[in-house]
Amino acid sequence: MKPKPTFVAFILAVTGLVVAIVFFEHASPDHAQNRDFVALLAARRSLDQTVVQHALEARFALAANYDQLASDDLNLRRLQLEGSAFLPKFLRGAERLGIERDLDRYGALADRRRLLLERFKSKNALLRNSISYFPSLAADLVRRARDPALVARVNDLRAQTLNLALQTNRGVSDSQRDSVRAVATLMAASADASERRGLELMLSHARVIASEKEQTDGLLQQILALPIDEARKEVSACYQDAYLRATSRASKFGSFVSALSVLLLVLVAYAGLRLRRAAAELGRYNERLETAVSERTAELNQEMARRAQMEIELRQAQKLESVGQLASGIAHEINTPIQYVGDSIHFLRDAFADFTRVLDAYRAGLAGAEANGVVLLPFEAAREVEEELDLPAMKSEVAQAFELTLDGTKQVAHIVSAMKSFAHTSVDKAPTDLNAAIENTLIVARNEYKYVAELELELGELPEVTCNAGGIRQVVLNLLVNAAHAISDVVDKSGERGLIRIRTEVQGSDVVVSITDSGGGIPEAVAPRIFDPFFTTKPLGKGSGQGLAISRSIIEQHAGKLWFETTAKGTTFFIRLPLETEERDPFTPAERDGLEPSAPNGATAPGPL
Amino acid sequence: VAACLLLSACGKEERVFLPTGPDVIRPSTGPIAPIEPPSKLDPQRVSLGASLFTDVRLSANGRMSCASCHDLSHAGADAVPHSIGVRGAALALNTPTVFNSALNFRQFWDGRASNLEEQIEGPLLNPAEMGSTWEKVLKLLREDGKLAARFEQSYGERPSRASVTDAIATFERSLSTPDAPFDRYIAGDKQALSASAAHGYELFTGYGCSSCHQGQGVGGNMFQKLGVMADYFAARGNETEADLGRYNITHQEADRHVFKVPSLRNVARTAPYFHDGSVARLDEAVRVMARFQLGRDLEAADVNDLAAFLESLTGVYQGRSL
Repeated sequence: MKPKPTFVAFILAVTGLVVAIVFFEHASPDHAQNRDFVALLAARRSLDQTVVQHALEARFALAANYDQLASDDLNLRRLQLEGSAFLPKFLRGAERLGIERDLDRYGALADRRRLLLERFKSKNALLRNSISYFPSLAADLVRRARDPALVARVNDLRAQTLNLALQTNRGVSDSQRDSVRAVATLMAASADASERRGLELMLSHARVIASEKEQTDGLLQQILALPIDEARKEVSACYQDAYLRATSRASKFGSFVSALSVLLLVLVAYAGLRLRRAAAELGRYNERLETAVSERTAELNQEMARRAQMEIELRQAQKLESVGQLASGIAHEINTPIQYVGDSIHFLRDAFADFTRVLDAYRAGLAGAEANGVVLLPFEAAREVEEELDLPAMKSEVAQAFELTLDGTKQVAHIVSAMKSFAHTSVDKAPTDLNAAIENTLIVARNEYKYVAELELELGELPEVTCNAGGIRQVVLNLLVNAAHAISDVVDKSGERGLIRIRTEVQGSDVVVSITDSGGGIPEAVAPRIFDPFFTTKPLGKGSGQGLAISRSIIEQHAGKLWFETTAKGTTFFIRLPLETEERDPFTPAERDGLEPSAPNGATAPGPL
Repeated sequence: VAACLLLSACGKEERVFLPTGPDVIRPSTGPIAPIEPPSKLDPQRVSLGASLFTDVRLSANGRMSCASCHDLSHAGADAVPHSIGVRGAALALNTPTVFNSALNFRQFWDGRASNLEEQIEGPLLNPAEMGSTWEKVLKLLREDGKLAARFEQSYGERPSRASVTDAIATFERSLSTPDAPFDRYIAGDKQALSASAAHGYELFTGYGCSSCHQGQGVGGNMFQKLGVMADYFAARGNETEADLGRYNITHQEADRHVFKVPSLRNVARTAPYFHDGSVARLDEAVRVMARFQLGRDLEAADVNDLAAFLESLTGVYQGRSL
């Protein structure tokens, strides 16, 4: 589902390229610019017409001054088309160059017209100057002339010249030339200097009129012949074409841009969607990660707790082992003297019996002598001592004492034997007589319960159970001590003695040991936590909170189960152990099970001394 | 990007373009039209231009201003045939008046400047005249906090080439002299002219003077050759390069000795006369014109009447006749 980076880069590059092309090509004609340019062309057209009209008006004296033409010139300069300053920006490339070329041509023609117009104004002014002056000049000559022929010639020249001035399509006529020639002849013949000067001035003005008229009209013709309208129309037509093309192109690009925009929006939307999906996936992944981390943390915590537990167990085991070794040593030390104490008491009892027999024989002899009347005075004192000591009573008491002593030594030997067997703290498993192990434990723990409870044993017939006898004894001891404590809590209040019942039985392939006390039961609030390490309800210093935790751990190592049932009248702890434990202890190789049944287990059988 | 493209596809910015410049010259039917005083001039810019007009910082030596030659108290010109430039040398041509210069269709005697804005740079940068540079002028003007503040107010920018030129040109457009007696005369006040001046006007049109000297400016709207009926420069002698006139611009033989026809407004106050300042008196100037442009020597009475008419072209500036 993940697109390759090269593909993404390709898409981006293509999009960027398209956007760039569109950006540079997308030049929709600016309507305002177009409107202005078209208006400018229209204004120029109007001015192109009026400037010629005003020139014609000036030529025929319809306009008295050049203010109109000056105004046209100013307006033409103001509405400058030349150059590209006002060219709409959408025009580009060849189109723009073409229109610029057309505009340059039009501009050059306009410049040419401006030059011709200025010349025209000057020439026309001279023409007008002479035309204005001519009638008064002629009138002056006529007024002063004495020769009627001169008057006629002057009037003729005036008429011919002014007539000429009014004709735009005709050159100097023959009659005008004749008239000039006639006036010239008269001037040459004139004797009056002032009249000659007047005629000369008239002739020169007539020449000015003729030449300036020709030049003026020539300039006007040139101006009218300028293909300026055509040039402007060319600009206009080219521009119209370009505008139409640009409009259609822009509309095409507009649709393209719209399409591209939509495409981009879709792409963006798609990218957004993908991003969202990716974010969601990331969120889920994070959740999973968190779960995994918390699970791992929990595992770690469990593992750490387990390690701590194992460490505690190991230490406990080590402690027990050393205590056991100590106890074993002590037991061994006691065992030897108690044996010869026992042997000596046996011997003393037998010896006393022998002495009693001797004494009895002496006494019988004495009694026979007395009965024969022999009074042996020295025996009187012995008789008195005998009577004083109540020998017969002493005899039975001594026998009793011996029995008691023997019992005691037998008990001591029993304890020592139990101690020796209890102190055997090997973690190895071996076929074990559970009942014997329980009994040994009871002996060791006797002091814990004998003041608060009666003990009731219901030990059933059990096969040997492959187990770690030390561990099981530790569990039973723990439960026994707890039971005694539970009862003592109650006993302290009621003053009665409680009852501890221990039962063993085979249930299917399991052995179940139950230890029931008549204590106050386990409160409901506490019940779920009693197997937690370090949990204890006992006063500070009385319990470590480890007992039940370790016990459960030990039983679980045997693939067994430790649980309890409790009421307000007491609690029963159950130990269920499989007869054949599957090896659960990772520290012990499984095959050792098969190797060990023959291992010596003398310590588990508390035999008589 | 998509949004931008959409916007650019749809949005169109409105652009307004309106060429600016002096008012369109009003057409008139007679040869001479009364002066239309300028309107719509920004008073702040006029006042700013007036300050610049007399500002000596516009010259290289800091002693000349526009007003040094175009003395408003001397009808917008000076009394000498050739003004003295910043180098102390006389200039080639006579200084024309600045009054009504906005009515001229081109500026300078040879018409090389299209408008006042173009004209202003001429004397400013001409080494013989004020001889300064824009760099220097603008630096000095920008250092003047008060002046710079006025520019900021009027143009929204510190003094620049464009704003300085515009201010001076705007001021010069304000230098209009309407209300000449002749303007009142053609407006219908027949008492405005003396009989002599009225006769002078008849002569002015009858002799054809008004062929060139016409319009609002009584001249100033066309070019004409000096010496139509006789060779002015041969008669005067010492022909200089400046005497070539428009030829110096176009290099066309037809433009030799061609000058812009000067306005005759306030002509009675702007002696000396002609492009060379060669004539000191008005009546003499009338005679010279008649001789070289008309081909005749005028009688004293006619000259007197023509001068009287020309006197009537003296207008009013700031309530006072020049």
